[in-house]
This record gives sequence, C-alpha cells and structure tokens, in this order.
Amino acid sequence: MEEGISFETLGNILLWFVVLTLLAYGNREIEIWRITKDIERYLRFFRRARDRAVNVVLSSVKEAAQKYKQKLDLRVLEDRISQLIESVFIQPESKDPFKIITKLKHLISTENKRLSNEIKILVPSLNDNDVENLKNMVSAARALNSIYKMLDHYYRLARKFKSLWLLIQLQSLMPFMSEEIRALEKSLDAFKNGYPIGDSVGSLVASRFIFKHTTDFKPVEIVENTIAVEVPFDGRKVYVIKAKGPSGCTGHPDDALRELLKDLNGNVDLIVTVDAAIKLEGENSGLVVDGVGVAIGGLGVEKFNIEEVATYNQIPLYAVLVKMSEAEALSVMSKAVALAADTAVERVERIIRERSKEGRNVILVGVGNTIGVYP
Amino acid sequence: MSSSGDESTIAQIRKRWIILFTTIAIASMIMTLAMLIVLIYEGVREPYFTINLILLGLALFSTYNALKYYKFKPPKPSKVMSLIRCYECNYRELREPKSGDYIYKNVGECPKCGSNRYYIERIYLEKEELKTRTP
Ligand SMILES: [Zn+2]
Repeated sequence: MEEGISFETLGNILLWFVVLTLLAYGNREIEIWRITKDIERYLRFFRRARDRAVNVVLSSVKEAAQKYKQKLDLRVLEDRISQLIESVFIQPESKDPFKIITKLKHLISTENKRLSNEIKILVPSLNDNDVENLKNMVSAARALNSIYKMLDHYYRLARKFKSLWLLIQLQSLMPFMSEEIRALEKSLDAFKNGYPIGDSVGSLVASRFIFKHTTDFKPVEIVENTIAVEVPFDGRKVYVIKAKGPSGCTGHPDDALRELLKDLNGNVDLIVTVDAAIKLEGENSGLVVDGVGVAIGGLGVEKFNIEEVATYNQIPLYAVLVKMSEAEALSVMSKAVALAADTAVERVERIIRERSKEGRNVILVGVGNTIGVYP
Repeated sequence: MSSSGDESTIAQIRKRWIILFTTIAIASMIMTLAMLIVLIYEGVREPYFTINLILLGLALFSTYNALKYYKFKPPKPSKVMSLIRCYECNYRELREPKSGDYIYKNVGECPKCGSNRYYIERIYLEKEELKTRTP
C-alpha cells in the first residue's frame, strides 16, 4: 500500500486552487472594468450635452444683443454666464418646518428676480419676453450642469475606493438620468424659438377656453406675470387664471387666486386646476384624467397656498391632468398632447356644468409654463 | 436645431458599421470556401478543420451584424408645424412656424372670408412619441 496523497496530486490540487482564485478575481476585475466603461460613456454624453447647452445660451445672448445692436464684451459675457450656470440655490432649513413654505417662496422669488437682473445687466435693451426665454434656457443649462457634476462626483468616488456596489448603483441610475438629460436638451430648442412645450398644456387649455367662449376680452394682470380673464360660460362667470404669455414664465397662480377670491368675497362654487403630469410607462401620451385636489408641480409652494386658501374659503378643488412623458413635458409640444388640450377643455366644461350652479362664479387655473401661448 | 446634428452622426455611425461588418463577412466567407476546398482535396485534417469552423462562425456573426445595422433605420428628423384656423369660417392652414410665432397669435385676415379672427391654434412636433435612446 502507498501513502495517501502523492506530491503530484497535491501539486494538481494547488494548481487548481490558484487557477480558480485567479479566475474569480479576474472576473471581478473584468466586471468593474465593464461597468466603468459604461458609466464613462454616459458621462461623456452628459458632458457634451452640458457643453452644448452652455453654447446655446451664449449664442442666444449674442443673437439677442445683435438684434438690439448692442456691443458685447465676449470675455465678460462668457465669464458671467458660467458664473450664472454654476450658481446654487440653497433650500431653506427644514429641521423646524414651521413657515417653511413662506421662506421657500421668498427664496424662489429672490432667485427669479436675480436671474432677470443678471440677464438684463448683460443685455439691457432686452424685452421681457426674451428675458423670460433666456432665463428658462439658463435654468436648463444649470440643471444639466448640476446633474453632470453630481454623477461625475459619485463616479470619481467609486473609482477612488474601487467600490463595485457604488459603481453598480451608478450604472443602474444612468438610463433614467439619460432620459432627463435628453428632455432638458430638447427644452433648449423650444425655449430658443419660443415654441410651446408639453408643460404649456395647462396654459393652452386656459387660453383655448377663453378663445372658445368669448370674442373680445380684456386680460387683467392681477399679480406680476399672471393674468385673469372673465369668460361667460353657460350662464356662469368663469375667471380664468394663467401666466402671462407668450413669454416663458409660470406666473404666480396662488397669489392670483388669493387676490381674485378677495375681490369675489370668496363667492366661488369651485376651482379647477389644469396641468401636465408625468405619465406611467403603460399609459398613452395625451391621456386626460380628472380628480380632486390641486394639479400643480414644482417645489410645492403654490400647491400649499392654493390648498390653504381654498380650504379657508371652503371651495371644492378639482383637477384635470394631461399625461405625457418627462421628455415630452420639456420638448416642443407633441401632437398627442396638442390634441389632448381639446379633450381637456371639454372635460373642464363638463366639470363646470355638472358641479356648479348657473349664475355662479367658477375659477379655472391653467398651470404651467406659458411659453408660446397667448394671452 | 441641435437634434438634426445628432441624427446625421447616427447615420454616419450606422454606415461605418455596415461597411466594416460586410467586409469581414465577405472576407471570411471567401476564406471558409477556400479552406473547404483544401479540406476536400487533402481530407479532414486538424488544425484546418477547427480553423474552418471558426471562420464559418465569424462569417455568420458578421453577416448577422451587418443585417442588424442595415435594418436599423435612424429616426427621421422631427418637424415643428403650426395649424392656423379661422374662428369664423373654420378655414385651416398648416405651415411651418415662423420665428416669433405663438399660439393665438393673430396672423392677419382669413384668406377665405376676410375675418380677422384668424389665429394660430396649434404649434406641435410632427413626431408622435419620443422614444428612449441610449447614447
Ligand atoms: Zn374665415
């Protein structure tokens, strides 16, 4: 009988062990390499999108200046624009949330005025319309920049610590970010030309309601950049609130509503808000749904204020939503959404007819950016 | 428009890949056939048989890829359109929007009835849906 294991077998077992370890390790390295390359590809694409956006903003400012025959110092202009794009918006402290909405509103209005000022300093002879459109473009470029920088930051961290888990998380996030980046990029085209975007559908429904039911009307600028129009409809008085078009602003629907309710002594049967909403993947673009509540996006300031004033006056709140994808919300209005505006107007008419009495007052709020939509 | 530049680069990339894969496919097919002839005259012998199998695989793979890129049609550039409608006689006109156009802009008199309630009613992208595309 020979002893248990020969040297040869032991050597074979050892060799196998080494080979398996190397394979396992190599596999992991290859995986990291593959994911890294994928993320880098996306990041390159995001950076190019950011650079293009900055260039579009620059060329638009130059064009605007040329239109008004104004000389620009290009160095100063580039410097100012890049500072504007890098600037930050710091959210109010939320550890003590008391009155946070008031603070947020204050900060947003400060931000808004600052952006307008900044652009007017660059090109003083610009009209309000162009200022609003440029502001929107700067905002899009800012969003592109901040998304790119944030993702790049996490990518560098993951590389630094060779963290596979961080890389995997980042990789799985990329397609969603890519969608958002594309949407923001498309919005630049729309804002540059002043065409309506998907998000303008709320304003479009309001305008269509006005033009459908009255031939001559006088829009009243009830608060800054927001108008109210009185429209007779089926024996009722419908007060339509929307941002003042066709510039790319969103107005202040909450303040306008408060002023209007003050004027009407709270004597209103119902409030209908119309806005664009992001669809679920299984839903079709241009789907119109209605319900109860306030249809309005953003940081929640206007939503809070409208709910508060309606609750105080005990007025029912109804909402009509037009569904679309995120990309459609920011690019030039798609055909499906444009057609859905007509359906939404009919839905609004039905809600008013069924839920308010004749001879009473109704308020219709068209929410959203009003770019490319008059009045 | 920035998107039109995007689309022409896609078309260029597509063309490049089609040319590459078609070249590889044709070359490997010719070599497979040559090898086959050698095999027939010399009898099945290694390593020629294995090489031939690999070449055949390469030929099939690149044909498949060439066809895939050939079938892929780059998205058509989308067009912005505006619909103008007369609110008196319902006369409609479809045209591309001019700079400074917006919805409910009064564009003068209706060519049919002469009413001045002749407005731009819609401005929209002619493409139905925007699909997700990875770079
Ligand atoms: Zn006419």
